[in-house]
Amino acid sequence: MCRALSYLGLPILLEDLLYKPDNSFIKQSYHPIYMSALLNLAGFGMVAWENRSFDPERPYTYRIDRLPFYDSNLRNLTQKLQPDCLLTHIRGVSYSSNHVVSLQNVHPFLFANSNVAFAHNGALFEFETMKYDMLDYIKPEFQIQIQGTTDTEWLYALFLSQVSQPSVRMRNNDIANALNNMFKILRDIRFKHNIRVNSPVNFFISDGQFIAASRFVFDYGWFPLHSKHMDAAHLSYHSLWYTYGERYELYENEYKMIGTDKKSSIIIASEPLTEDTTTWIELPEYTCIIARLEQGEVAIETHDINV
Amino acid sequence: MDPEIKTTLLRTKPFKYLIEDELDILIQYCKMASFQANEVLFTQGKKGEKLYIIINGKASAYIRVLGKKIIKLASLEEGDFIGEVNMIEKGPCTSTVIADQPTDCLQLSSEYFDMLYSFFPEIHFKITRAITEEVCFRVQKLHKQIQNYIQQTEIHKFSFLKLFTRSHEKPTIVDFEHCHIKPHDLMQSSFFQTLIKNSFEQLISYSTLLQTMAQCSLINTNESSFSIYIVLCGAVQSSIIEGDTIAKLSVLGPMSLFVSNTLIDNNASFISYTTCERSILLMISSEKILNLESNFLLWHPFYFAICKSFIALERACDKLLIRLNSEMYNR
Repeated sequence: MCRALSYLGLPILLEDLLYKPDNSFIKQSYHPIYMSALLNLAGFGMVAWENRSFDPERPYTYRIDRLPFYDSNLRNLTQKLQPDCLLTHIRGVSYSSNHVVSLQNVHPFLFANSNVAFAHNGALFEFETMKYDMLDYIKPEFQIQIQGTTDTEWLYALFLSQVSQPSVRMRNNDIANALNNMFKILRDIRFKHNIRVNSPVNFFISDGQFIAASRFVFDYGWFPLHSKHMDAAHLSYHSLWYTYGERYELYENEYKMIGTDKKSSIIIASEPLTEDTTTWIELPEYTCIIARLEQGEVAIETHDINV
Repeated sequence: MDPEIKTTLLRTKPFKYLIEDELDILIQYCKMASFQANEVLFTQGKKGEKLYIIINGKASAYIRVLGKKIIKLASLEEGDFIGEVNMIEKGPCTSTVIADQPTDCLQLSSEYFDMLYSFFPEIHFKITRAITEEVCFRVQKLHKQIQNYIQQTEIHKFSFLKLFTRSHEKPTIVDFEHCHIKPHDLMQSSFFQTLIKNSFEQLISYSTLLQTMAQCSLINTNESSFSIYIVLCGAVQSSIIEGDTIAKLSVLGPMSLFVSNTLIDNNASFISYTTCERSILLMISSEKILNLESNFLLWHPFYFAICKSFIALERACDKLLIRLNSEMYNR
């Protein structure tokens, strides 16, 4: 059910995140270690910022609605690009013709009048029932930009609508408050429609200056009455991991964050990029994390989400 | 085996409950492993899946902590043991262990430990019990470190309303029909699958089914009584509470088991458990646990689940300490 990855720090060759590690991001599309019951075959997207590029505040964007591991153009690009900040996503949906696989549904989303990119790992149960109530909380300038059929695009529009000045750089308080407001609105709409089923909402957000993520599930542990989802794979809380250090590179035949005590780089991802998870840490449940560079060092804030 | 070595082994923590006959059986499932100086016993991040007990020699454990250099964790010598968590959990090794000098170890692999479960359950149980006590002791030490840290930092405090709610929400006793849960479906789940049908029915007879809202406190810090809980629906948050400050550890979802450390070490509980969602739980009260203990077929798998729950708690405490040292948590 989707994998996402964000990065902030020293310039990094994109191939070292997307292809090279033993549990690389692209490999997670067909062989995820967590949430292995569902493959991620419904498209790939990325938004990347590179300080040395022309107009550095505008990111590179790349989106396909096909399988990324067959995409030679993507492979070539990753062997050249060295972004300082990245948000990337592979989409996983259940195997049904009810789902629309298209470019319009590929994450991360980036509206024309915003510098904030947004991706989502999870699914809102009975979203079709909820979505028109969400319109009451989405500003018109964002409503008209919704093109696809995903819950994520609506959640993105809802998030942007919680920010008082979307074109101005967000501070950490703005991000945390926008997320909290968003969760409260969703909670209230779910309550109104008596929706009380497990719905994971792991968000990944970035504007090139920060990366943020939430690890949250509404009504965790409550599954549809006649669901057969009683095995361990479905019962676990959606995963979210991070690692930080000086730089992420190959060391003793394995990719890991290495260096001294200086935190120059951070990765936040649905799952670790290596089978060795001992230098990664799980973000606690019901928590959000915000990381930004301050004088060359990554400053990390984590907040409990209490809604 | 040399009688002196056997005496040493019987004094080690993992084997402290074994009698000599049981050790003789266990040794048949073990092998001797010898390491030269600077040879690696475990590599951080790789699968270990074995327990080593040092018979003679010395070794050192090192760890690469998130974002930092490699630091020395511990020195190990005759009678010390390593790898017990790897053996039970089969996850990656959390540290690298290197022999400082020629070192001989008794090795028990996770495959043979699993075989003991079926063929010599008493031995498996006694080793599990010893390991659980050791892990519980380590969790208590971590708890003290975390408590000190919380006292010195400005973590956001709980509102009075929230504290009031936590202290006043109480669970209600319900039945399966009320909760729309079929015992037959429960039996198919991963947690109960290992029990045979008669054991499952006996378990249900010892249990009470509880329904709670969110923010219901099930185990409070400094309580001395203990019950075993299994989450059926919803979720429970484990935390360390210091006054009106709370540091969250981990969330336990469906088919998770938890119990106060009081069951293991007879000390007052130092971890609190509060529902973070409306929940349905199976509870086995401290009085009924005595019934459970007298039925080894039931108690053995339960105790193994309790052992794993404390291993998971230790991991959560380790991670919280790393985060408190390197992040602005709830400031």
